[in-house]
Amino acid sequence: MNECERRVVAATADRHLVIEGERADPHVLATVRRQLAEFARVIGLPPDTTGDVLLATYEALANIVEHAYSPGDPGTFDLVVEHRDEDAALTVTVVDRGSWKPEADNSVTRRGQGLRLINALSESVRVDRGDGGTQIRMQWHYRPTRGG
Amino acid sequence: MEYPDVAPESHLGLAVEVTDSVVVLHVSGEIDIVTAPAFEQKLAELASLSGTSASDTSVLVVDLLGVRFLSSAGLAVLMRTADELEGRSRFLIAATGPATARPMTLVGMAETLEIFPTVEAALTTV
Repeated sequence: MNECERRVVAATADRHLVIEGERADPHVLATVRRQLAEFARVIGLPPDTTGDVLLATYEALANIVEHAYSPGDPGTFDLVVEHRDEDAALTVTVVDRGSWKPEADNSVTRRGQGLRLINALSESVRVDRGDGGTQIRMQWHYRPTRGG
Repeated sequence: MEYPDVAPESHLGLAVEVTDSVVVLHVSGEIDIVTAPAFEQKLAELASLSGTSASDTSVLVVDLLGVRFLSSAGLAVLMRTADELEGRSRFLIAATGPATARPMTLVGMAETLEIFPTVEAALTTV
Protein backbone atom coordinates (compact mmCIF):
# COMPACT_ATOMS: atom_id res chain seq x y z
CA MET A 1 0.00 0.00 0.00
CA ASN A 2 1.53 3.32 -0.95
CA GLU A 3 1.43 6.50 1.12
CA CYS A 4 -1.55 7.98 -0.74
CA GLU A 5 -3.77 4.92 -0.31
CA ARG A 6 -2.88 4.66 3.34
CA ARG A 7 -4.02 8.25 3.90
CA VAL A 8 -7.39 7.54 2.27
CA VAL A 9 -7.96 4.51 4.48
CA ALA A 10 -7.09 6.55 7.56
CA ALA A 11 -9.54 9.26 6.53
CA THR A 12 -12.51 7.02 5.85
CA ALA A 13 -12.42 4.24 8.45
CA ASP A 14 -14.22 4.49 11.79
CA ARG A 15 -11.60 5.12 14.42
CA HIS A 16 -11.45 5.35 18.19
CA LEU A 17 -9.08 6.99 20.62
CA VAL A 18 -9.17 5.36 24.04
CA ILE A 19 -7.21 6.54 27.07
CA GLU A 20 -8.07 4.59 30.21
CA GLY A 21 -7.07 5.03 33.84
CA GLU A 22 -5.04 8.20 33.19
CA ARG A 23 -3.88 10.11 36.28
CA ALA A 24 -6.12 13.13 37.05
CA ASP A 25 -3.13 15.47 37.13
CA PRO A 26 -3.08 18.91 35.47
CA HIS A 27 0.28 18.14 33.90
CA VAL A 28 -1.01 15.23 31.79
CA LEU A 29 -3.74 17.30 30.14
CA ALA A 30 -1.46 19.00 27.61
CA THR A 31 -0.27 15.60 26.40
CA VAL A 32 -3.84 14.32 26.13
CA ARG A 33 -4.77 17.47 24.20
CA ARG A 34 -1.98 16.83 21.70
CA GLN A 35 -3.03 13.18 21.30
CA LEU A 36 -6.58 14.33 20.57
CA ALA A 37 -5.31 16.93 18.07
CA GLU A 38 -3.35 14.21 16.28
CA PHE A 39 -6.43 11.95 16.23
CA ALA A 40 -8.51 14.81 14.77
CA ARG A 41 -5.89 15.32 12.06
CA VAL A 42 -5.86 11.62 11.18
CA ILE A 43 -9.65 11.38 10.79
CA GLY A 44 -9.71 14.61 8.77
CA LEU A 45 -11.81 16.66 11.18
CA PRO A 46 -12.27 20.25 9.89
CA PRO A 47 -10.17 22.88 11.77
CA ASP A 48 -13.14 24.73 13.27
CA THR A 49 -14.66 21.56 14.69
CA THR A 50 -11.22 20.43 15.89
CA GLY A 51 -10.80 23.63 17.90
CA ASP A 52 -14.21 23.20 19.53
CA VAL A 53 -13.59 19.51 20.31
CA LEU A 54 -10.14 20.23 21.80
CA LEU A 55 -11.41 23.00 24.07
CA ALA A 56 -14.62 21.26 25.20
CA THR A 57 -12.72 18.05 25.97
CA TYR A 58 -10.00 19.99 27.81
CA GLU A 59 -12.64 21.76 29.94
CA ALA A 60 -14.28 18.44 30.84
CA LEU A 61 -10.91 16.98 31.87
CA ALA A 62 -9.89 20.16 33.75
CA ASN A 63 -13.13 19.89 35.75
CA ILE A 64 -12.17 16.37 36.79
CA VAL A 65 -8.63 17.39 37.73
CA GLU A 66 -9.85 20.36 39.77
CA HIS A 67 -13.11 19.15 41.29
CA ALA A 68 -13.64 15.38 41.16
CA TYR A 69 -11.09 14.26 43.72
CA SER A 70 -9.90 15.43 47.12
CA PRO A 71 -6.47 17.05 47.31
CA GLY A 72 -3.86 14.40 48.01
CA ASP A 73 -6.11 11.70 46.60
CA PRO A 74 -5.59 11.98 42.86
CA GLY A 75 -7.89 9.65 41.00
CA THR A 76 -8.08 8.69 37.37
CA PHE A 77 -10.13 9.46 34.28
CA ASP A 78 -11.01 7.75 31.01
CA LEU A 79 -11.33 9.48 27.65
CA VAL A 80 -13.05 7.72 24.76
CA VAL A 81 -13.35 9.40 21.36
CA GLU A 82 -15.50 7.62 18.78
CA HIS A 83 -15.53 8.65 15.16
CA ARG A 84 -18.27 7.39 12.88
CA ASP A 85 -17.40 8.11 9.29
CA GLU A 86 -20.84 7.18 7.90
CA ASP A 87 -22.61 10.25 9.27
CA ALA A 88 -19.52 12.36 10.08
CA ALA A 89 -20.15 12.10 13.82
CA LEU A 90 -17.69 12.47 16.65
CA THR A 91 -18.51 11.52 20.25
CA VAL A 92 -16.24 12.31 23.19
CA THR A 93 -16.91 10.59 26.52
CA VAL A 94 -15.07 11.59 29.68
CA VAL A 95 -15.45 9.50 32.85
CA ASP A 96 -14.23 9.99 36.42
CA ARG A 97 -14.71 7.97 39.62
CA GLY A 98 -14.91 10.84 42.09
CA SER A 99 -17.51 13.16 43.51
CA TRP A 100 -17.57 16.74 42.32
CA LYS A 101 -17.08 19.34 45.00
CA PRO A 102 -19.20 22.47 44.69
CA GLU A 103 -17.41 25.68 43.71
CA ALA A 104 -16.99 28.52 46.15
CA ASP A 105 -18.30 31.98 45.25
CA ASN A 106 -17.89 32.18 41.48
CA SER A 107 -18.85 35.84 41.27
CA VAL A 108 -15.54 36.80 42.90
CA THR A 109 -13.24 34.13 41.51
CA ARG A 110 -14.81 34.41 38.04
CA ARG A 111 -14.56 30.65 37.67
CA GLY A 112 -17.27 28.28 36.60
CA GLN A 113 -17.09 29.06 32.88
CA GLY A 114 -15.97 25.52 32.04
CA LEU A 115 -19.39 23.88 31.82
CA ARG A 116 -20.75 26.94 30.07
CA LEU A 117 -18.04 26.59 27.42
CA ILE A 118 -18.67 22.84 27.07
CA ASN A 119 -22.36 23.53 26.42
CA ALA A 120 -21.62 26.29 23.92
CA LEU A 121 -18.90 24.39 22.04
CA SER A 122 -20.72 21.05 21.73
CA GLU A 123 -23.69 20.19 19.58
CA SER A 124 -25.14 18.11 22.41
CA VAL A 125 -23.98 17.36 25.94
CA ARG A 126 -25.15 14.80 28.44
CA VAL A 127 -23.92 14.74 32.03
CA ASP A 128 -24.62 11.65 34.16
CA ARG A 129 -23.72 11.92 37.82
CA GLY A 130 -23.78 8.76 39.90
CA ASP A 131 -22.43 7.42 43.18
CA GLY A 132 -19.46 5.95 41.37
CA GLY A 133 -18.51 9.08 39.45
CA THR A 134 -19.51 11.33 36.59
CA GLN A 135 -19.72 10.80 32.84
CA ILE A 136 -19.85 13.63 30.33
CA ARG A 137 -20.74 12.77 26.75
CA MET A 138 -20.35 15.39 24.02
CA GLN A 139 -21.27 15.02 20.37
CA TRP A 140 -20.56 16.79 17.09
CA HIS A 141 -21.64 16.29 13.49
CA TYR A 142 -19.26 17.98 11.11
CA ARG A 143 -19.19 18.79 7.44
CA PRO A 144 -16.71 16.39 5.85
CA THR A 145 -13.92 17.98 3.83
CA ARG A 146 -13.03 15.50 1.12
CA GLY A 147 -11.11 17.33 -1.52
CA GLY A 148 -10.64 14.43 -3.96
CA MET B 1 -0.51 4.88 25.07
CA GLU B 2 2.79 6.74 24.55
CA TYR B 3 3.59 9.46 22.03
CA PRO B 4 7.33 9.92 22.57
CA ASP B 5 7.66 12.91 20.25
CA VAL B 6 4.92 14.95 21.87
CA ALA B 7 6.02 17.80 24.15
CA PRO B 8 4.49 16.95 27.53
CA GLU B 9 4.04 20.44 28.94
CA SER B 10 2.18 23.55 27.85
CA HIS B 11 4.25 26.49 26.68
CA LEU B 12 3.60 30.07 27.75
CA GLY B 13 5.57 33.06 26.47
CA LEU B 14 5.25 36.47 28.18
CA ALA B 15 6.91 39.67 26.90
CA VAL B 16 6.29 43.15 28.29
CA GLU B 17 6.53 46.31 26.20
CA VAL B 18 6.31 49.65 28.01
CA THR B 19 5.80 53.04 26.41
CA ASP B 20 4.69 56.37 27.92
CA SER B 21 1.34 55.50 29.39
CA VAL B 22 0.73 52.13 27.75
CA VAL B 23 1.88 48.71 28.87
CA VAL B 24 1.49 45.85 26.40
CA LEU B 25 1.80 42.23 27.49
CA HIS B 26 2.48 39.98 24.49
CA VAL B 27 1.39 36.42 25.22
CA SER B 28 2.19 33.33 23.18
CA GLY B 29 1.56 29.62 23.53
CA GLU B 30 -1.17 27.99 25.61
CA ILE B 31 -3.14 29.39 28.54
CA ASP B 32 -4.56 26.41 30.42
CA ILE B 33 -4.81 25.23 34.05
CA VAL B 34 -1.03 24.70 34.20
CA THR B 35 0.09 28.04 32.74
CA ALA B 36 -2.77 30.31 33.92
CA PRO B 37 -1.13 31.05 37.33
CA ALA B 38 2.02 32.46 35.68
CA PHE B 39 -0.17 34.50 33.29
CA GLU B 40 -2.17 35.85 36.25
CA GLN B 41 0.95 36.68 38.26
CA LYS B 42 2.39 38.73 35.39
CA LEU B 43 -0.93 40.53 34.81
CA ALA B 44 -1.29 41.30 38.52
CA GLU B 45 2.24 42.71 38.54
CA LEU B 46 1.44 44.98 35.56
CA ALA B 47 -1.97 45.91 36.95
CA SER B 48 -0.36 47.07 40.19
CA LEU B 49 1.74 49.51 38.13
CA SER B 50 -1.28 50.83 36.23
CA GLY B 51 -3.06 53.88 37.51
CA THR B 52 -0.37 54.67 40.07
CA SER B 53 1.67 57.09 37.97
CA ALA B 54 1.00 60.81 37.62
CA SER B 55 -0.52 60.12 34.25
CA ASP B 56 -4.23 59.35 34.42
CA THR B 57 -4.29 57.78 30.98
CA SER B 58 -2.68 54.48 31.89
CA VAL B 59 -3.63 51.58 29.69
CA LEU B 60 -2.90 47.86 29.93
CA VAL B 61 -3.10 45.90 26.68
CA VAL B 62 -3.01 42.10 26.58
CA ASP B 63 -1.95 40.81 23.18
CA LEU B 64 -3.31 37.27 22.73
CA LEU B 65 -2.58 37.04 18.99
CA GLY B 66 0.17 34.48 19.58
CA VAL B 67 -2.01 32.30 21.82
CA ARG B 68 -2.98 28.94 20.29
CA PHE B 69 -5.14 27.65 23.13
CA LEU B 70 -7.18 29.54 25.74
CA SER B 71 -9.15 27.57 28.31
CA SER B 72 -11.62 28.82 30.93
CA ALA B 73 -8.75 29.13 33.43
CA GLY B 74 -7.35 31.87 31.18
CA LEU B 75 -10.77 33.48 30.70
CA ALA B 76 -11.13 33.70 34.49
CA VAL B 77 -7.73 35.44 34.75
CA LEU B 78 -8.80 38.02 32.15
CA MET B 79 -12.11 38.66 33.94
CA ARG B 80 -10.44 39.01 37.35
CA THR B 81 -7.90 41.45 35.88
CA ALA B 82 -10.69 43.51 34.32
CA ASP B 83 -12.43 43.59 37.73
CA GLU B 84 -9.20 44.63 39.40
CA LEU B 85 -8.52 47.50 36.97
CA GLU B 86 -12.06 48.80 36.79
CA GLY B 87 -12.15 52.55 37.37
CA ARG B 88 -8.35 52.71 37.59
CA SER B 89 -7.01 51.91 34.16
CA ARG B 90 -8.24 50.84 30.76
CA PHE B 91 -7.85 47.15 29.99
CA LEU B 92 -7.72 46.26 26.29
CA ILE B 93 -7.45 42.81 24.73
CA ALA B 94 -6.13 41.99 21.24
CA ALA B 95 -7.54 38.65 20.07
CA THR B 96 -8.94 37.13 16.93
CA GLY B 97 -9.91 33.72 15.58
CA PRO B 98 -11.17 30.38 16.89
CA ALA B 99 -8.52 29.83 19.60
CA THR B 100 -9.07 33.04 21.59
CA ALA B 101 -11.86 35.31 20.33
CA ARG B 102 -14.33 32.42 20.00
CA PRO B 103 -14.25 31.20 23.63
CA MET B 104 -14.39 34.81 24.89
CA THR B 105 -17.45 35.47 22.72
CA LEU B 106 -19.13 32.20 23.79
CA VAL B 107 -19.01 33.11 27.49
CA GLY B 108 -20.19 36.69 26.85
CA MET B 109 -16.88 38.47 27.46
CA ALA B 110 -17.08 40.23 24.11
CA GLU B 111 -19.99 42.26 25.49
CA THR B 112 -18.29 43.39 28.70
CA LEU B 113 -14.61 43.70 27.75
CA GLU B 114 -12.84 45.76 25.09
CA ILE B 115 -11.59 43.26 22.50
CA PHE B 116 -9.83 44.27 19.26
CA PRO B 117 -8.53 42.26 16.28
CA THR B 118 -5.01 43.79 16.52
CA VAL B 119 -2.86 45.68 19.04
CA GLU B 120 -2.81 48.65 16.63
CA ALA B 121 -6.60 48.76 16.55
CA ALA B 122 -6.67 48.74 20.35
CA LEU B 123 -4.13 51.55 20.57
CA THR B 124 -6.06 53.82 18.17
CA THR B 125 -8.71 54.09 20.91
CA VAL B 126 -6.20 55.32 23.51
